Amino acid sequence: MNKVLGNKKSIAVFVLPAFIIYAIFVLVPIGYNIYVSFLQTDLMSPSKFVGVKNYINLFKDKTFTGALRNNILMVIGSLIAHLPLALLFGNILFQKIKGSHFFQTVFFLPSVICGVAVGLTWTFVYNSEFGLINKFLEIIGLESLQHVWLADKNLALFCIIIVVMWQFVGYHMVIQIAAMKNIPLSYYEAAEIDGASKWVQFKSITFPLIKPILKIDAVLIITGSLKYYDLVAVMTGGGPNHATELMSTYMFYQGFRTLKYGYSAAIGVILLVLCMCSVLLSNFIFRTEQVEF
Amino acid sequence: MEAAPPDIFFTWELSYLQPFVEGGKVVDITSYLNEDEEWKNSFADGTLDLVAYDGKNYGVPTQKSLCVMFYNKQIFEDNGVAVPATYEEFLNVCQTLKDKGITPMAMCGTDAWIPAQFVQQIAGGMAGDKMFKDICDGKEKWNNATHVKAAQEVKDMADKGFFQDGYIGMGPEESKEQFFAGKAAMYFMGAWEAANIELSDMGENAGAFVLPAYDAQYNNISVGSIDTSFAVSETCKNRDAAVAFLKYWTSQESEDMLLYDCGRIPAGNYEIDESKLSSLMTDIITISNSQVGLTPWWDRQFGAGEGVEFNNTCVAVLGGEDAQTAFDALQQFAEDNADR
Repeated sequence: MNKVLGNKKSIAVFVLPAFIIYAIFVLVPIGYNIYVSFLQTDLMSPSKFVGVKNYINLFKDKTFTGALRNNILMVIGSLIAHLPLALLFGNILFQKIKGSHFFQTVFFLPSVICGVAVGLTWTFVYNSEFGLINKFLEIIGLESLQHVWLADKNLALFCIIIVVMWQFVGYHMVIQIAAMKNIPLSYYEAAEIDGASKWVQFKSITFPLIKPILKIDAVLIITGSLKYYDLVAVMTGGGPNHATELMSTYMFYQGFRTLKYGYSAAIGVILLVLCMCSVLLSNFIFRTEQVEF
Repeated sequence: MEAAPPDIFFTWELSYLQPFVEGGKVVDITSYLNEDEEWKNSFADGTLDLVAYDGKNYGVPTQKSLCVMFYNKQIFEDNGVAVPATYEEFLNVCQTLKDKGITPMAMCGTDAWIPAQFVQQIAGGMAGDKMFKDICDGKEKWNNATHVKAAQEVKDMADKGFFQDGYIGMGPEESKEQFFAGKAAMYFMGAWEAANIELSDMGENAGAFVLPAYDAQYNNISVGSIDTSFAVSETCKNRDAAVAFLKYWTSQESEDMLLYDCGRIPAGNYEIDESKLSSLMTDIITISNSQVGLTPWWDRQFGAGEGVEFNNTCVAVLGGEDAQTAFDALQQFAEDNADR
């Protein structure tokens, strides 16, 4: 075994097939996308090299800046639900209360349902005439709070963010519980003997030791929110009048509807840069020394 | 592996086919049309031009379409209202029905092109088709006074309750259902909907009239164009066979089937046997023949750019945004878009 692990050439040979597939399906398309972002093209007529004009136009484009703002709101919403809230639920269920396995399954279930199905179901829930929410408000007498949720330009995005928060809180909770299970119980026992409360145990034992997992989880959450597409495409199509437009839906619209592939590729490159920045940011915030236990 | 586009493909007209033509993906069929004068003349005036670019023909239409106001004859009769002949009469019909507790018009809010076509129709009734042509030629701006007034007019109708409750969040299927189930008295839509209406519970009960123009001098100028056009792809190996098929698909036999069986307005100018038409189709053909001007839907003229943004702007106004501000934003978009 050591012979293989120590020999750089054998490592390269074993990594090569996966790397080739990665290069063909990820690296090459990314490279091509960066190239197309410097063109003005509909991929049928001869293309025109325009340098950074697409990027300049993007930052002047109110719809794009609106989409960027929507994405940031989605990142914030997701971070709130999928880190602290998931940690809270995870910690409670980690305490081996009755039915913790059942609750873990139930919380996790929404994340395995196909995004389109979730979107359609919630569209019915938000429906202004027969949807659950407006009917419930009517029953408890709060009719004045009724809205046409998904058609209201101020509310539609928050309605969608709530669905995203609901859908994936269980997914991240399960990841965090798995991380918590790695911590030796002896630490908790020692803390109990020393008289530490549950909150102190969480703050001093659980949280620091699962920080590496939280770092990866944060990257997943931020990049997932930046790339998010499903629910917006199904529930509002980016409407009303681009109020719920996200960078991914706008990229799709500019590429496949208006046939401005160069402009759309530029959005893709910006998305790539933002995702890479989020990795660096997450690494910085959750930095910690390696702990061996 | 080479991409294999079909030999003949469905297309919309104007800006939809244009990028494919400019990209060299479509066969120029001008010579085929010129060789066969009979075929060329079988198309109604102006229809071939909508799929022609740079003076050359690239597609053939099979239908004409235009927007009409469908109405529920029973509701009109029961409430003593008649088909309006002027715009004021139309507003009175709406108010009368509203006062009697009936939804005057079914409207959709989520699919932006549906309220937008209504705004376009009213704008055409205010300024005729000259404004349309001027915007196409770049001589008029999107945020002109007529557009703002027309959008405001539709918003006023919504505020007066002329559309069903919650229309702004309803999809096309839901809003259609209001009319089909007899809950709304009128429904503004492309004439292609006729077949569905006749098959629904409405059946024989439906009629159609053209919305009277705001300014009577512009009567009979409607939102309309050709539909279901076909073009031949550049990769087609047997062009003669493809054209022969197009000739069959636009022949009298085919157009007859389209009209009598499917309720669509033919793009060809063959003789129509009135006795074979239902009363709704008779209404529609009469309307079609009496139009003096047709303005294609904006999102067909300008495609997924200014066209779709016009639709979005109309929905924004219905959602409460100030009409002038919304259309100013549209004008700004049009100017930015030219540069992208």
